Amino acid sequence: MGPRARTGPDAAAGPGDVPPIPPAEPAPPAQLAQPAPAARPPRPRREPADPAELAEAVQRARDGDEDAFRLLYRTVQPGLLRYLRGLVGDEAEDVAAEAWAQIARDLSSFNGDADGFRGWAATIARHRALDHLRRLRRRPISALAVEDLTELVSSHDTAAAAIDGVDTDAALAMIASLPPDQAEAVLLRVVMGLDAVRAGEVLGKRPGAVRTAAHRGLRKLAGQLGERNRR
Amino acid sequence: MGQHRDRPLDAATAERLLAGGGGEPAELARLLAAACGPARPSELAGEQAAMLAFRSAQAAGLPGPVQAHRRWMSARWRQLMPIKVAAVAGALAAGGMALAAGTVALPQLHGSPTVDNTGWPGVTDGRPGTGAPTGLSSTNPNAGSTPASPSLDGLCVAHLAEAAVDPERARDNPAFAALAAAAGGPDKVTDFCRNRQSAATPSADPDPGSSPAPSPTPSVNPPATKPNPGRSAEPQTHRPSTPAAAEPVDDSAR
Repeated sequence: MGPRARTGPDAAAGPGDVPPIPPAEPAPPAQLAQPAPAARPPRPRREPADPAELAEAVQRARDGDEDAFRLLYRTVQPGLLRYLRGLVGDEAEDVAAEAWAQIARDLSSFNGDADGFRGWAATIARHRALDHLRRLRRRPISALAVEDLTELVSSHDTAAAAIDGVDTDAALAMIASLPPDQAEAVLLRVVMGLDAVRAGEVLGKRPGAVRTAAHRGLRKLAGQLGERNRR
Repeated sequence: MGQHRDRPLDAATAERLLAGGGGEPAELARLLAAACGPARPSELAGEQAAMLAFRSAQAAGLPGPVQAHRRWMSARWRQLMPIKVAAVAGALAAGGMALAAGTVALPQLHGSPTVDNTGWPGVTDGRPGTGAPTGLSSTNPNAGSTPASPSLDGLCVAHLAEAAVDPERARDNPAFAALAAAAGGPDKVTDFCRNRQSAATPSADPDPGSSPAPSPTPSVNPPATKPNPGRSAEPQTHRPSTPAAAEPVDDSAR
């Protein structure tokens, strides 16, 4: 099962899949959510889950096909934005816009498959983010404290939280609160769908180092979740 | 389900969770699932800006595919090789660091200088504000902003180079649409460009019909020698220059 082939009875949803709605309350040990109920607002759905379709879109966009580029954007941008959220917090939208402008400019110099494109896009985004932080002389921030997240989530009812994606934001904030190398490793694997090799290329690290950082991040998250459950 | 805390989070479990496998520990699996939940409309709010950037890049840049770039480059190298251009080409082959440092007078090229077939172009940290890696990212000096119109002279240089190699493709290439509009038709572009270049360079190559550009020195992109070319607001007045004629502004390479 590849990083983005999130299928199966208890699989998590990728950005292109039919989304399950996880319950908002963290306390009950939840079984993983079921396929989405009918009462769900329409979401942009033209995202291919199929890597071959994405690879073809890359080639067509290189030839100037606007619809192909739009497809690339809709497929990759959500994950890219979430990755950037972990790096630059609420300036993620601005940095993402810079990244896509560079992607558009440099597309002719990229030639690869779907995974390659994701990795290339992540690399561009990361450089833009680091430039952004250097300009502002800041380090990557932790978006929210874990304590704030409990309030954030419990202040919404389940349906609203699911629809608003508060659960997503809460999850992303928790990951972003990890030490930066762990946060990046987890985000690149999980929201960008990169494997350890490609994530290593983005980060300039060996795949083993990326795996180690990601595993440490997961252990820390598991610990935090356990602590939250005991409150 | 509540017994999950008795099991350590081993590497295999971690890998399974990272790959989207789900399962145990359940809360962690759910957290990761939430992190990569479906796209929300707010996350695609920048689509219009991205499409604008794409259209600008298509209009300003020259033929997209790398193959055209390589053909153009080889055509240029074969047909016009003053030492200056050779030095620049050497700098490009070396990775463009001199260009990035802004110390070399640049010919007008299209596409990224750090073309890399493995799919990992030399994505260095770009310049603040625009993110343009170097001044060669497009022939348009206003690479960081929406260009008003592509430089006809620059397009002519590229068109004639491509026409020397593959006239049909040069005629049909939609990137030269601006030339077709200026010339009054795609079939007229080649003559239009030759006339344009010979008008600008009186001491040009006596046989303009066989070379892509009468001027041995290709147009220099003045803003590109600055460290932040994309932010330049200089006008797009490219004129093919002759070696004896006045050099464009930033010829600090020598």
